[in-house]
Amino acid sequence: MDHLFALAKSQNIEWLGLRRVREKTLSISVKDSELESYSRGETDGVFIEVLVNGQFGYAATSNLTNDGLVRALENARLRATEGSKLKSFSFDLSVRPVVQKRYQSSVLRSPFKVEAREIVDQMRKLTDLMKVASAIKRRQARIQFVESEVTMKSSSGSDATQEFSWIATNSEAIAEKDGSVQKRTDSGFSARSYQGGLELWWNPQLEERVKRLAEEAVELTTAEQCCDMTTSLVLMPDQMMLQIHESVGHPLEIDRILGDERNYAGWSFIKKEDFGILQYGSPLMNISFDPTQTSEFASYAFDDIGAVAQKEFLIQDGKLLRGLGSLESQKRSGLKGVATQRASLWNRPPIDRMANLNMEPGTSSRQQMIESIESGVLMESNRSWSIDDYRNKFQFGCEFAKKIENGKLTKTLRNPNYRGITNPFWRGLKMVGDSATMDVFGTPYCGKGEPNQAIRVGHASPICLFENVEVFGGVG
Amino acid sequence: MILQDDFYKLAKRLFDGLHLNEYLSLGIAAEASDFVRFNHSRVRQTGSVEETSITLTYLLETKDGLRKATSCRTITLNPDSDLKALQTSLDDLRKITASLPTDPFAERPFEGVSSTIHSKGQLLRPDELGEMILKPLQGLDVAGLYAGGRILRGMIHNLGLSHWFETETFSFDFSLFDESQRAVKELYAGNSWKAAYFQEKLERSNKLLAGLGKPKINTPRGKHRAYFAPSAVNSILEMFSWGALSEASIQNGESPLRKLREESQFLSNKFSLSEDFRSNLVPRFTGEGELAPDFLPLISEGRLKSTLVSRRSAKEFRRPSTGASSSESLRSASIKAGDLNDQDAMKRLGDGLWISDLHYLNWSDQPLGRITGLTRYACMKIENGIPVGPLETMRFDDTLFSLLGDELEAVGSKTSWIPDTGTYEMRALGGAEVPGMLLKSFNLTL
Repeated sequence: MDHLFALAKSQNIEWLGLRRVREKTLSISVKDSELESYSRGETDGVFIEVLVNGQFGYAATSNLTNDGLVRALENARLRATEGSKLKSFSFDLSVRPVVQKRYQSSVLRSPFKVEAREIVDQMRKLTDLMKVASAIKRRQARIQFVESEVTMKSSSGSDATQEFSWIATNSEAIAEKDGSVQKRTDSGFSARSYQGGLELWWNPQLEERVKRLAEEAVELTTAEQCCDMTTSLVLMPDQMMLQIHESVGHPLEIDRILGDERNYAGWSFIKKEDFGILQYGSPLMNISFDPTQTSEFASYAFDDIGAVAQKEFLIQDGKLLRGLGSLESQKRSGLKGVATQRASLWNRPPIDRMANLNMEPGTSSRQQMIESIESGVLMESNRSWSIDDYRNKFQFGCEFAKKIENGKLTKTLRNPNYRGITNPFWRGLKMVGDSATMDVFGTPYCGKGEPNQAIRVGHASPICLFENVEVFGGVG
Repeated sequence: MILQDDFYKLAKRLFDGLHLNEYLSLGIAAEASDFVRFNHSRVRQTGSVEETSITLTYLLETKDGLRKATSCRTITLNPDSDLKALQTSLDDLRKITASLPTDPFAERPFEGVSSTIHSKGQLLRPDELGEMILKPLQGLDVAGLYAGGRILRGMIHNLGLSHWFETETFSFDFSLFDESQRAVKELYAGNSWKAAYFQEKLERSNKLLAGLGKPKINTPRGKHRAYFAPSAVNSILEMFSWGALSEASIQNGESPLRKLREESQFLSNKFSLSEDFRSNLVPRFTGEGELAPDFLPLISEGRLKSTLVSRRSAKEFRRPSTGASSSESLRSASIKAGDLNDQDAMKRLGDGLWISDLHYLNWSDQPLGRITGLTRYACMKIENGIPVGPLETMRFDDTLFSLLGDELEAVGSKTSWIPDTGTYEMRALGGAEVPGMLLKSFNLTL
């Protein structure tokens, strides 16, 4: 593909960037101890981007023949030229820095080097372990491995490679008793998503967890409905991930604040002038953008435009400091940002995305937190999520809850939900768990952008306690 | 983009090497699309995507039963290197599949009637996009996406069945904003860009936006009489594809429609839903090559008539297949029109809420059919059949059995075709034919 640089030069194209992505996928699903599907995938394509008259244009193609690549370069040039006539902003090369780096996920055991049957048999064993009672209606284990090599080259001298290995897993059991149906998963659908290999999946704790989730599914079928009241709410890390994602991550995307997303997922209640001033949450709230964590799902050394990634605090002591804005968004808005312009694959343009967005640990132990509550509810594992187009009014549902009475966890509750408005909710953050209560999760399904893109994000959080939250149960 | 004959030739060369106990099916998905993303009526991102991928589904017949695995890969459109790469994928599948356990619900390929649909369009060239789209937008605040180009889906298996669906379409999905962040949603889609029609749509949207220019009204929580415009009805309809009409979901207990099957609950007799492929806008065939019926009643007058049953579910749950895709989701849904004259809808509503669009729906309790979501865009408060102002965003939490059951007062006499403009991975095909609906009550919660 290097000949494209000479061709671009001969056409007086100001800048050319190539981002080639070669990705291998292995997806397996086992249902009720039977193999449901075994599929592999390979994708190989290049995102060709040019800068003409201050406008970027792209052509992404899997046609890697010489003709295909030359045509794609011409397509990119034509789009940029036409687009530049009514561009929304005039960019320069400061938003495409030169990067010359290498990054590789830490992997002890690649699933692509293990016999297919071995992984399938382990998954069958998992669904066997979920056979804990006759009330169990369905048992399922799903796993997806991805190995991806991203190489970036540019006419300004970028020459960089990142090799990622991702693993996303899900185990779930559905139980039914007297018409009451309940599902329990291993911390929410595909929440166990990490960067690494098989070593992050199969371990003795996994066997214990799947047995427990099946038992809890059965227990939930006869549990009390979650009560309707305004009360103290303890969220476990596997629900905190969703709370952070929807009510902190998305509203802080600077391209969203600038209106790019208005026709799709929506705008943001955050305005440019809020940075450095707005008290987003209580002083206990500390949120970091941290793509440097080994094994967390969305770690990387640089983003898809070449900006070098590093940890930054977005919210410190509850105050909003910095947004999720790439070099492009920083230039457009004048705000401070992070290295966050990413694409889902070779066939989509990079936009502002969360990477690993984490809640920093506090000082409370789990026991201290529960003991401090006279009456409240503890919820875990997300099952329902919805928030308005400005990221204010949310309603989230969980799979499992416990009533808290006089400082103790008591009855199991089914169909727990809670609702609130973003800033008042975060300002009600009363206690933050210490590092012993931290857990790390992620999701491969963060949707955004036009054309649409689903991307991987990671979220780590301690257990947190919120005051005066409206919780409620189901009907019937 | 690959030609139909070239794809079949490529497939046949792979079929030539098959043994008697092997079956192979090739599916193809491709597109050559333009994408222009707009913000503030100007170009934010612009580009094109050309992508072709082929999925091999391999079945090995053994004494114990069928073993199955699939492999999907992008191809480069160089016939020799593509054949070599696909042959490598097939060889890998052979090795892997031999070691896998049997799949009790796998199905051998079947013989049947092949089909071909080529549908040509008159799309804008990249150098026309500025003139035809952007110029009319100047002076307005518009954000959105133009997506247009060729899309193809096809399949062939070694017993000879083949299907091909190729179409050229565009969609311009956009929102128009005023200075106070009030907004109107619009969609222009088709296969031939008509400037006058686009201008007309734009003017209508602009007029509607101007009509919203009053202070937003806070609506109290609780039950309200409401009219859902077709776009809002479509958001509710989409929930039927999320573990409701799927036979597998009914069988595992998650689907709220199990109550319809058990006849312990019904929807309104004014509500009828079907899959309707008669317009040929959507491929009728599935990845396995099965053709869905032209017209499949799913819910008739509130009673469940059929579900979306894939071939796999058919075997697993011993029910007849209804030609559903493996995801058992709606592909070309149609809600039967009723007798509510759309011109009279506001008058019939009287005092209540005019819901133009809904946002971010999710099950809040799936087995019980409870849905939560929010109002969005040009929702208005209506008094005595007259709009009095735009609504502040409100959250709702209500059930399918209420919205489409006892609380459904009337169904619009006209339906609108709402294409699926999704572009995750590739541009989507599909859509739904939906009318508006008048509801006796709609439950707001926040």
